[in-house]
Amino acid sequence: MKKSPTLKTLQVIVYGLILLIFVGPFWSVLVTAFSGTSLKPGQLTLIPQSFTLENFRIAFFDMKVWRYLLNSLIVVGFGTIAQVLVSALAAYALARKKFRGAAVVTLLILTTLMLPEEVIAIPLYLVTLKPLPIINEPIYNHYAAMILPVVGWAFSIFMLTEFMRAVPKELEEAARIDGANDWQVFGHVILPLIRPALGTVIIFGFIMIWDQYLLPLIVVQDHSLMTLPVALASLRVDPTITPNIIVAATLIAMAPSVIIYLLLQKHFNRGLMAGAVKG
Amino acid sequence: MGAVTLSNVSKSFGAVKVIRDVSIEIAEGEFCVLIGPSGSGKSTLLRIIAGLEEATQGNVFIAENDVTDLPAKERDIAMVFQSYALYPQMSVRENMNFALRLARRPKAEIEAKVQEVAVMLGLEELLDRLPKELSGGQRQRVAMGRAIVRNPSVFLFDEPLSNLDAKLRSQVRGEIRDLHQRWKTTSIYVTHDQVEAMTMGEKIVVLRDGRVEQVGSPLELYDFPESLFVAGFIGSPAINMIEARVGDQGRALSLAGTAHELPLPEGYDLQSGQEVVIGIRPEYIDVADAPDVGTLPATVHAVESTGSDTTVICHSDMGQILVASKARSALRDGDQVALRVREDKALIFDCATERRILPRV
Repeated sequence: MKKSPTLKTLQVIVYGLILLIFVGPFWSVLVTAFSGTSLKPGQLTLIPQSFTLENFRIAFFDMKVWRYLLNSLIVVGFGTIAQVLVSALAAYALARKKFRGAAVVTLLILTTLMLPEEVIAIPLYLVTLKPLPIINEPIYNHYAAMILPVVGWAFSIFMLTEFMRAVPKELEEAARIDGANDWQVFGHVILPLIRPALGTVIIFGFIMIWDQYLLPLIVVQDHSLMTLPVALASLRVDPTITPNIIVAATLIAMAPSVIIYLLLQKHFNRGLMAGAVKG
Repeated sequence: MGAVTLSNVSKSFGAVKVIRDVSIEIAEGEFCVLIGPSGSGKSTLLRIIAGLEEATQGNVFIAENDVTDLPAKERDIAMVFQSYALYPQMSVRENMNFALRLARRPKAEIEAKVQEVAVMLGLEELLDRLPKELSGGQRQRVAMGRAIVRNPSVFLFDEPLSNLDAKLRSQVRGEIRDLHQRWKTTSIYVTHDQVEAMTMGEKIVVLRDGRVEQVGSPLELYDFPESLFVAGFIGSPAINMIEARVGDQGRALSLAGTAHELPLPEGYDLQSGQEVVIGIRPEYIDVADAPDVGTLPATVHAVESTGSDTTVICHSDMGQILVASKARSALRDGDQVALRVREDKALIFDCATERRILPRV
């Protein structure tokens, strides 16, 4: 059936509007960041004027964004690796091992998803002030205070558990007969088969840790340890810094998430689909 | 190489008993088939031998060592799964050498071993392919190769042919038989297909509801089944079972629901009035030229011919009766026929216990 011209025009207008709503803010951020004309606080521009990279230079070097970026990368790097490792091991136990209290453990992990960050913020702060077992040191004002609390994440544990359940049990049994122990089954058989899910979990974990704001804000006081989101917020209240520079810093902050997404996109899409339609 | 002995093995899943006090001895180098209908416990028994399930009671011995409490990897067995269970992310070569790599054997030895087995199974061209790039038959062969490479004491097969088409199945059946002839490794093979059991097994163990119903060679089971269950389970087309009562002072069998009688085969001591079931293989019933004394009237219901064999399905007062022969049949549906039973080939079962009544020796 052919669409009438009026309907088609209407369609184009609606799509155009939707596009404007979604692309508009991005566009204005891009234009502002590369614009040589300084704007007043709270202002953004949509029209490109003189092109410059000066805003990025000021943000990166003068405002020490490189330092905060480095902090963020340290936290997100170690945090994501530890998170994926812990999640995969926990998921293997939940998916494949029969143990007393498995249901309770699952429920406890699930509960952590139901508690808003704000609720655990103060107790977490208090915990970081106390000496931790084994190391006998408080981790307050240390990278570990920003990394350790995000290592156990229920979302990635459950996601990997579901994927591991879908791996045929016979493969594991074949490996056991071939002489593999638990670690070898995990490393040689299970992990390679859940690669799409690992990709997804890495992306989600990376973005989740990268976006942490409240936790780094309360467990770290030292300016030199601040992560980018916290630092950006403090830059924003400085009246001497123009919006062009803040927006440039924001773009720098966004870059790693975009890069990791593009790198693992293939895995990400497969992971999402496999989670949606079982089979 | 190793003999396998199961001694009073039982297995329960919660309150459900799936294996009940099973004792089997499989000699070194023997090819033993475990057969039974779904739920008879044959796969569970194989998994107990493999060490993938723990026996609730009893002991498993491999090569005279008690392996009951040993994990699978320490039992020196190899298993071919129904689904093949090939590692999808590994190439054929990696699948086949996985066990040897885990055992940290020298690289040259691993390569030589894989190459030898690959040549034997015709897999040389496929060594660098992934399992998803193989056909069903090729995957099956890789699964067998993976088992052979390890040179284990015992091979375990869990319905390895059930995913193949009929022609390929018969071909692989022959290959497994040849491999066994060559290696003489003790093999335990689970199937529900009696053709596989009859053609491959040196010893067949028939299982029913987790119990051993009968152990014997293929022809022993066919010719001398100890129970109605075994008689009905082994043989295709299936054995005819006719209910009867002993009459004429223990000299004849009155067929239930009819006025017909069959002479009681010689050597039996039966009480007059005793309820029995006559089991008679379809090839021991002939279609007579004309009704006569001792023939049974029946109506042809269908004629099934595979070209080499013909089965005539007849309906009679005693129920359905199958007649099998090598000759082609001119009979048509609805034809009235007279059936002659070779009563000397009849097997007689007690109606109550369902066990075979043995003649005097």
